[in-house]
Amino acid sequence: MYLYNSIYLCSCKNKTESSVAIPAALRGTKLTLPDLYFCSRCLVLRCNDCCIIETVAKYCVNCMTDYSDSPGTTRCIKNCFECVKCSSPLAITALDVGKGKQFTFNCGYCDYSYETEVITEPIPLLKHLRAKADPRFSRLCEKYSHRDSTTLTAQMEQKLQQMSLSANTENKKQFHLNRLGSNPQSLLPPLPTGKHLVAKRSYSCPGCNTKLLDPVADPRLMKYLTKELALDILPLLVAKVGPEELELEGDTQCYLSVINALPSNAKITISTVEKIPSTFNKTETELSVSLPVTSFAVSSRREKMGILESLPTQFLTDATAESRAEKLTRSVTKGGRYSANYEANGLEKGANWATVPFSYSATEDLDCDILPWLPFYVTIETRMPASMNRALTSSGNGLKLGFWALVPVEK
Amino acid sequence: MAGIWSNLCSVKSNSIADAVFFLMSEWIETKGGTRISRLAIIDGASSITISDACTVSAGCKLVGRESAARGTKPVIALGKYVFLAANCTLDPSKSSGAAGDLGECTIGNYTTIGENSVVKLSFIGNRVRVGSNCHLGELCVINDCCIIEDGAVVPKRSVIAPFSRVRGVPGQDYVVEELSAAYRRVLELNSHLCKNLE
Repeated sequence: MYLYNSIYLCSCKNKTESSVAIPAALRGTKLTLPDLYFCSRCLVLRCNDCCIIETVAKYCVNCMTDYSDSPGTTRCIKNCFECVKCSSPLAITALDVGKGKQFTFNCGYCDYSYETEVITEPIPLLKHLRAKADPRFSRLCEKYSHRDSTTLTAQMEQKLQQMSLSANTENKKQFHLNRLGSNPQSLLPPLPTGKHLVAKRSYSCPGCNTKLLDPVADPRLMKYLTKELALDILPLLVAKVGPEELELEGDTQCYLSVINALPSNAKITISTVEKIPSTFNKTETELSVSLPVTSFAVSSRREKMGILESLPTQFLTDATAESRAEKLTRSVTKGGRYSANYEANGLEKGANWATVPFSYSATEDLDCDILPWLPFYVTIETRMPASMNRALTSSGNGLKLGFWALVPVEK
Repeated sequence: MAGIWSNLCSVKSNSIADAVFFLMSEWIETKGGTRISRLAIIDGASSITISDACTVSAGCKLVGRESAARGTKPVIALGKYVFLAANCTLDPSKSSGAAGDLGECTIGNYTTIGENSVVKLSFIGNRVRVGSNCHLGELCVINDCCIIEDGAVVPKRSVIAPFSRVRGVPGQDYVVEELSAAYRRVLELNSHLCKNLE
């Protein structure tokens, strides 16, 4: 995937909010910019782990049946079955035997197959399979399906409440339902199971309860009522290694590009630590980074901007005519179509991006094929976008925020 | 002239056909911006529809069998800005249906398919990224805004919900995750960049 490979640290994992020391959580996180939300009220990044999640709708993606009004249902109750071994969809074939029918379930991926008995009455397949399941398990299901029954004692009610609470916490951690299910009837031949349902979820900020992502409940629609994406606010960071001829005394020359997503100019300040431990840079040695330019301005993003125009020069290739033409246009320093040019300190500015040079060196010998990941602390100062509800925010017209990002150096 | 001659000498085969090919551009370009590599294999061209701004790279194999029964309906249909990387295969001919009952392989707009991936009889929606070395089985439906990670295997007849990320092999590490709404824009940009930079 182009551009979106840098890892950003959510505010929930950066409790100290230190810009001097690298937060330990940066090592374990894998969230890229599209995975994050931005709360315009609290002015912080939010991720799936820290958001309040609510299920807006749940449905079977195979038959598109809406199960939103069926609490507790996690599998399709129609004729959508999946393999118990590999969770692939099962093909069902029917064979006429005497006055009845015999159904065969075949997995399209593994060798799993299941044949029913001859069914003479018109009953749903799922009902037939449930009848074949371990009766003890069926009884247990039956018992707990009547949890609202008045026959339950107060102690049992309390226990059930505790169980449901713990189940909810577990559900919060498990975002998707399409996981391999476990088969409780280990002694019986494995029976086909109904297809896992898919959920549409809304995400809210835990601090102010503002909706960050709110999908339309109708399973047939892909629209969103609210989208507060970090992609619209935070700049995109990309690093690329420079030409080999620029290597000087073990220092590897690189370029860090900052692409502005906002419709207003932004002032960017970048910093990093003096020594980057090997646990963060994903190499086997400690690295030191030299960053000659730390503060610069980036122009705003215009509406209907050309794709290549919004791309830093280091990404342009000679493979296509369009890219070659763009490269040639930028190489003309005077009278060029764009304002992209080099400044004395090596800073290159483009339509909505700026590129700064930097270099890194390893304390021990580092294989030149291994490219490191480098942590940067970025501060952005800009005008509050009109799309944000200024009445909700406390910082007036200005927007200033800092965040840690782990940027891979690409070839 | 000397430069061209030295280049010609560097062509491995000495046949005239190779030399003529070398002098021609690698790509056939249409008015709508579609680029098709001369090294791509397109079988049954009359049953394949390719929209504007698509890229079919070298070594790609598009198998579209011609059938009178289908009339003008294409076997393979590519939407706009579809990018097929090197050596990927679109092969809807291995249909499990009755003989003559050919299925379709429809690929939506802004979809990219990675190197060495195999797409059987499938429907792929808009803004989908199929990584390299993937295998999309017969009768699969990949809805809009999905990412199929490198090396993933999507089993036969699977239906993948919109905004999903699929990775792994069934029975081993097969996982379908939810994707954020931001990926709609990211995937469209990715398709544009593939077209303009590769």
